Amino acid sequence: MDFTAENIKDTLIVTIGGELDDHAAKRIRQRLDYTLYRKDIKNIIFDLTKLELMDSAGIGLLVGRYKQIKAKNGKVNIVTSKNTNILKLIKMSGVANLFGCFDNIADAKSNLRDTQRIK
Amino acid sequence: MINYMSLKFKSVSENEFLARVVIGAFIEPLKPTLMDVADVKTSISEAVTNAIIHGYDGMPDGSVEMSAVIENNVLTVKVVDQGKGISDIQKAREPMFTTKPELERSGMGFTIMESFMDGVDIISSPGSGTTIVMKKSIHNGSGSNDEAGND
Repeated sequence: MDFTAENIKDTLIVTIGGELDDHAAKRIRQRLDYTLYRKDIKNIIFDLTKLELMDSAGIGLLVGRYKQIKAKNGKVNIVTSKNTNILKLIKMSGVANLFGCFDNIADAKSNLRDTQRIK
Repeated sequence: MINYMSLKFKSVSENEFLARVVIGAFIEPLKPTLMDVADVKTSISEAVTNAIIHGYDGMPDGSVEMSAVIENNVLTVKVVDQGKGISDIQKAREPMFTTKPELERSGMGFTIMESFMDGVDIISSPGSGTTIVMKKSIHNGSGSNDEAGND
């Protein structure tokens, strides 16, 4: 599992590659919770385009962060490649409507900018 | 083609990866599509994680056994633990049901296994461990990424 988190203004861009299972989710959750606690983060973009596989632990990780961000009136956007098992899993779990789902990071970013402008 | 394998490992989360790699390699001679490989590996991940987190309550002193058979392009894979067992199997199968929300378990494990595999049987009772048996027909996609042959 590869994991990076980059802070741009009030948005955290989290890139996860490789395989996201329960083992990986525990470690990512720990690091994200630390960052979310310390910094003034309002939105998260999860870039999952380099993710090869995800199981329900990944769904738990995404929904858990959604709850934290929603409490701050923020937004969670997800970027996945088209026609992947990952997108299938997110849709099947019935949680796709909690997130903005995009197939490229530029759209995910501009969606956050647009949302802020409307407000 | 008939082939079989079995693997026994410690109930620690590092071994979820091991189980996925082994099952992926085991079905490789059938030349599955990448989607079929991901479906099988994800389902194994769910079954093994259930054994570790729920069967053994995250305690590392248990063992999990995964065995698999391929016969006429049908994969049958079994994941067995000797943990605490499931008291209400019907409830456990319900989407979004989890006994461990504090661990951010989504309660989607069995729903995912049922969607990604052709059949899932759960044999379990309190105190006598859990056995999960899953079946899936693997269509020859010559390792391609297209979804032909998938449902």
